[in-house]
Amino acid sequence: MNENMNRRHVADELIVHFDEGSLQELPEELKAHIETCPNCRQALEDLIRLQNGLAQLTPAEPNPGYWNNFLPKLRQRFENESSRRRGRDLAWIPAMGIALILALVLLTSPTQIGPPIWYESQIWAEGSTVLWDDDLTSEEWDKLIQITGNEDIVSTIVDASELELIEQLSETYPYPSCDLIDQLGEMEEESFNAFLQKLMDYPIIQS
Amino acid sequence: MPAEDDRELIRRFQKGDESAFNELVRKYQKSIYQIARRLLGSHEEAEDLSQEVFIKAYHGLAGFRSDAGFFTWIYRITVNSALNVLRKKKLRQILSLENVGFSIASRSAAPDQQIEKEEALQAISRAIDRLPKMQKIVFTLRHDQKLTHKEIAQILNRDEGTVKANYHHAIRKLKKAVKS
Repeated sequence: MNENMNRRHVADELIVHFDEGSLQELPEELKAHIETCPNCRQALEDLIRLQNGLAQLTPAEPNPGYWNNFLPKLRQRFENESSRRRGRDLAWIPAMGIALILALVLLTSPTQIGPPIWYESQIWAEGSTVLWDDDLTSEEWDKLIQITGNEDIVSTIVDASELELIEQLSETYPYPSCDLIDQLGEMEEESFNAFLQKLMDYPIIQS
Repeated sequence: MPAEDDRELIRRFQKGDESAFNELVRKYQKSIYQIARRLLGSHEEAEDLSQEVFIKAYHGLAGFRSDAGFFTWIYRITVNSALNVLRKKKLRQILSLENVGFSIASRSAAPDQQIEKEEALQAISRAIDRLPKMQKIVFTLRHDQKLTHKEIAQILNRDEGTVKANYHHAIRKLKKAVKS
């Protein structure tokens, strides 16, 4: 039987025993082979060394007081989230006010109000507050990156445009989650890499 | 995993008993943290992710069906959330025009300075860190969390054979790290 056992087969068998925690209780046939095969003996010794090493590697633990604070911190986050949600629920009130004022201005203005003009100098002057304008098109973002060439500003812009990009590019991947960010976690590695490639081909990245 | 207890806690929570959720947090917080820490590397990211996982669980529990195992569900949230963090990092690197190759090189050099244990343990730790994502997830769930291949398959929504193959490849890579 020893002749029939190739090295690969034994290596696979040994990993199964490693997985089951039975490296010290190998079947007689396997033991007999290992005694006569230096390569397989080496493989067994490596696995035993790995098993011993893993047993000494304790999982990373935070400081002892950490777990006492975990739940209170979590509850605090719930609180903060609820407050933000309450704020969002009421966000329609100022928005409605602004809309009413705009409507009044439009109705009473003698001259026609044109589309907003995007001044490069104004954006420079605004610095990081440029993010107030979430409605920039991808071409505008592209232009902005070219103009600023500033890594801080670019990375801030990236945060704001990320969702939009993901939304546009992930449409071709039909995943069950309706949360766009969650879709990333549900993608197969191959799809995700294809998605990344697509992203790298995107005009903003090329710039 | 005592699924019966979980079902009871979920039933209580769904009836409005907030303390039942606290019990679920206490029961799973360490496991969730350990998985997150192994997959993400830093304490800060693991802490943030653990809290995010419980927040998602809190909001999802109202519609949770008790025929699905709670731990399968929450581990799946953890793994997917960790994958999201890793993927968003990668996305951000690309979007912010960082040199990805350089970032990876600097990251792999960093643990060398931090790990102070003896050489063999260092080698194993580094080898675990460098495992491909899916192998690392499977190894973490199998070795650290002592889950069966079947349970891992349920969590990852893969077939058991794929999980075993990933585990097998992971062990072969780790074995090389301790080769004398």
